[in-house]
Amino acid sequence: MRIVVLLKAVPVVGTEKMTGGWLLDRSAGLESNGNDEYVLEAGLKLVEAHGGELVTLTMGPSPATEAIRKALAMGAARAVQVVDEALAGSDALATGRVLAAALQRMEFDLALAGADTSDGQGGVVGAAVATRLGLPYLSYAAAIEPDPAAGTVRVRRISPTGYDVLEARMPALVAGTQLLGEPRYPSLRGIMQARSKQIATWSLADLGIDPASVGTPATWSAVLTATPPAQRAGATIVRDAPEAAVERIVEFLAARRLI
Amino acid sequence: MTSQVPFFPLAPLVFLVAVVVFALRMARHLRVFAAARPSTVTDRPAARIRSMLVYAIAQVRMFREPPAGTMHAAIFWGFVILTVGTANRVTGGLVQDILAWPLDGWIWRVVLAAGNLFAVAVLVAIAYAAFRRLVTRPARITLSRDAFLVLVLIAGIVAAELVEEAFRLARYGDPYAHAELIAWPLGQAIAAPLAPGTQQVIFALAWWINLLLVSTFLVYLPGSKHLHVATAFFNTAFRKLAPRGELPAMDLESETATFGVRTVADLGWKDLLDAFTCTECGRCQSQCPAWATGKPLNPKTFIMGLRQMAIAAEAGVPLVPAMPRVPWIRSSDAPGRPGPDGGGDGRLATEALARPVVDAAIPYDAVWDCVTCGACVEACPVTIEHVDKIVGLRRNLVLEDSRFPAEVTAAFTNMERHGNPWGQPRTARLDWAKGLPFEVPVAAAVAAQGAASTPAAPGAAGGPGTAPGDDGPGFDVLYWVGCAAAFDDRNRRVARAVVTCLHAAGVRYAVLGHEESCSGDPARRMGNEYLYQMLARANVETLDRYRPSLIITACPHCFNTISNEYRQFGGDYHVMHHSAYLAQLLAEGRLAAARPGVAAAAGAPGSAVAAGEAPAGVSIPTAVPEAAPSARTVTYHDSCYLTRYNGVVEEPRAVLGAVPGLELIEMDRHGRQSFCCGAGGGRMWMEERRGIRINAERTRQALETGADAVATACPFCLTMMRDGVADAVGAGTTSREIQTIDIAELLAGSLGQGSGAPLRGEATNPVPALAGATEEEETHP
Repeated sequence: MRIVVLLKAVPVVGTEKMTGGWLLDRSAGLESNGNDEYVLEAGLKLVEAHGGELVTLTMGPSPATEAIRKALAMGAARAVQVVDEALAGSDALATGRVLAAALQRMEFDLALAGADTSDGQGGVVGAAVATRLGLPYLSYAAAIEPDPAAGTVRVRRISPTGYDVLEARMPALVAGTQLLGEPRYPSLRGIMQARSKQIATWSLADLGIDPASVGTPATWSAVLTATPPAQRAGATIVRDAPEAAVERIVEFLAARRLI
Repeated sequence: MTSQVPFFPLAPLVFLVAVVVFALRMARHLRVFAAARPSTVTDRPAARIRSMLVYAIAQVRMFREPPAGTMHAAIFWGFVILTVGTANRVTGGLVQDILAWPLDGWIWRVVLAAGNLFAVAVLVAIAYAAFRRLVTRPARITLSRDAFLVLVLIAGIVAAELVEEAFRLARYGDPYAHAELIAWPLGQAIAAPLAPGTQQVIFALAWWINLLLVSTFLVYLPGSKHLHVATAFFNTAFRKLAPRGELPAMDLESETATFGVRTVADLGWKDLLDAFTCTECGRCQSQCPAWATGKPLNPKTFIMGLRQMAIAAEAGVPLVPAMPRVPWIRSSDAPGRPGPDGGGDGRLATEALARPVVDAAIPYDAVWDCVTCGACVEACPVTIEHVDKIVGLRRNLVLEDSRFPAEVTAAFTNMERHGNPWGQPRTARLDWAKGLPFEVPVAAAVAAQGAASTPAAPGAAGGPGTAPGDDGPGFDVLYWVGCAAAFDDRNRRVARAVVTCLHAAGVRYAVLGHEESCSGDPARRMGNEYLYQMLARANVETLDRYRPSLIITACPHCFNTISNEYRQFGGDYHVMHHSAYLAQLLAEGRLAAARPGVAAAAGAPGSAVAAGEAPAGVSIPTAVPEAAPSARTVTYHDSCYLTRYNGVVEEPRAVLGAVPGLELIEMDRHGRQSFCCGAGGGRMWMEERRGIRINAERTRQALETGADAVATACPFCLTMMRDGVADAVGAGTTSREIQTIDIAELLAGSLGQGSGAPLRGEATNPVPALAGATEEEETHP
């Protein structure tokens, strides 16, 4: 199995800061996107079960390296990072284009993407990549079961009424959810091995993409303003024994005409 | 004498063979020691000799249980004195010749008299030991064949000696006969009436039985738990002399080393000596809170298991080491037999040596059940170190296998990303200080202000805490708040109480604010040394920027690691726990408690003021909600990392003693024998699924005192005891909703008018001395 995981480096949740032009500050303190870690974990388990190699693919500035190193420490064999100054401010469409171009240069049976990212929360890049490459797109995966012999993959897709079982030929792109299972915590052995693993950096020129077609100047939408969400009102914590607690919670909700 | 014993010339030979077998068996143990990691045991020789005298000779820890201690002392000293007699017999009277020479033989008379008396003492002690094992059966003692055999052997040796002497004196007489206070009258009573021939036979039989038993004992000893008679001296001398709260340093850059402890070979040889010194007395087990609450962790069987593993590893080593092959002597039975290092026989069993300790000597779950409270270490009479080994196992599980309870991941990730196990944003680090009637100085601001104001206008009224010509950071005391007090709602009130006291005493203090980060203690105790070192190094860097002359903290875990462990990363700081610092402020008169710190019910003696304090202005504080229950008796729950690890026992009690009208009732388990709250060793971040909850047991002990409140001096203890009380009330096991409160809150609530800043603004009282524990609701921002 050859697996590529699309991995985004995002600002540590809760510490996001804006730069001048309503862009997220990505100059430091990036971590791997939470949802991407779930598919990374699923991918690592698949490689452990079926053999093969897992490679991560990231589009992001140089501070993203730290997040990539963590993925390598968790067990990815190597990483590809698309870095180019012209990429700053790229929208989802441009990101999809760049990742698709990069993915086209890689060999894989499965490409995995997180359902969405904690900073952008668009949840469309995976679909965009699949569309551009003409790959089957299986979203909201709670389980991924490839059949390498048959060249197919089955995915359990969460739906509002339960789940669907989808099957597609490989190569395919699967967007996964947290239901895939908790990502592993890298061991020190893994961290040390990650230091000598290769992170290939590709520029836009390497991918044959015109710098003018990506980045801030080429965005299809613009952020006009952004404000942090208002502070939540106080939460009430009930520490009583279950019976008493139920009573108090019911009382609380009833007083607000919520039940 | 030699002529009286038939076949005497054989005696030294038999004894010599026993000694050689003993030595060979011991040497075989040492082969495993040699395969283990090195241990540092040669530093501070004076302290080591002292340690041996205190623990191995005076056996101070044995006397914590006086009957057992006395019994043990009788056997030990009896053993020592009777060894003189044994040596004398084996050498054909040489010892007597030497000792009887000076002072007209009085030294020898004393030895004989003491030997006789101790022989009886030993027999009584053995009877008591057997009685305990067979009849009263304390839970901590296992009745093993080994234990029973040792008792029988010792009793046999001593009884045979008495009989032998009694019949010898009766048959042959002896110029020193009257010094044998027991054997002489015994001989007169039972031996004298018999015919000389019978006397002679019984004497000879007893003599040889004694010698054969002594030889058997020697041969048997190296494979017995009783080996402590030989190893305890070394084990107590080689014990850990570094602060008990300092875990061994670890080089994480080594590419080849095994991280932490996986097999017995990853232990230091001193750890194996621990294992061979364990006498299975079970004092560790009886003190262990995990074992007491029905968890699989048993510190005693863990150490015994290590010994079994070491013995399994040496199983392939022949007793008599293979001789180096001499070319001109061909051994017909072993042609081309490989030498000691040639593989095959003569080597340690590699399979046994490669076996992981986890799930062999200790179950996996038990490794995580440990609260690192150190009760076992404190209890062990022969200074065995259990906790460091368990953390060693955790280090290996975490660093190499990423194997730990699932819920720990969140704590690790939170410490990594946010610098605190709660996962709260760093920017919220100072939220606890909001709404205080005074400003809490932040180190960076104070230092910046100092730098700006000192050269420009030295001595100007301006910058608070910047003394003219002061080259320091602009404050005297750095208050290390800790994550619990910064982020946990209940503990935020403790932080407010601490600064209220500091402010009242006029202390020039500062906090690090957003620059503070988790001290790393939970990470280190949970085995994540990589994360710990990352946090510790960053903190050392931050602290070194300010070079505070004194750091205080209300968290015993931060206190322990900053003061005992940061030196491993070049951070050498003077750290005091808030209990000690507050006690010092009180002693210096900078703080004065002038009113009851806990709500005095109407009509309570509000004028009960500590002697010597100005009672002026004593009034029932209106800050206290009227409905709040009164707490005039309090029990203090000791934090493990204060008492056992750092010897802070009296200071928190001094603070409590300074609060007027407060009476301290001790729990049975207090001071160095305290019973953990259940949150140490990173257990704060783990689910407690096995057995009953440790905090429930500790709460039961606290409730038993009948006190109105439980005082704590640790954020984790406070949380655990509060939850324990809430659970007990919820479960209906108690109707008394007793308070749980930090000593700083009690003190702050009692500060009188005389102290700098009395608390004002009842509605927003920063230190609701009472409200703490009784409140069931909390608001989270």
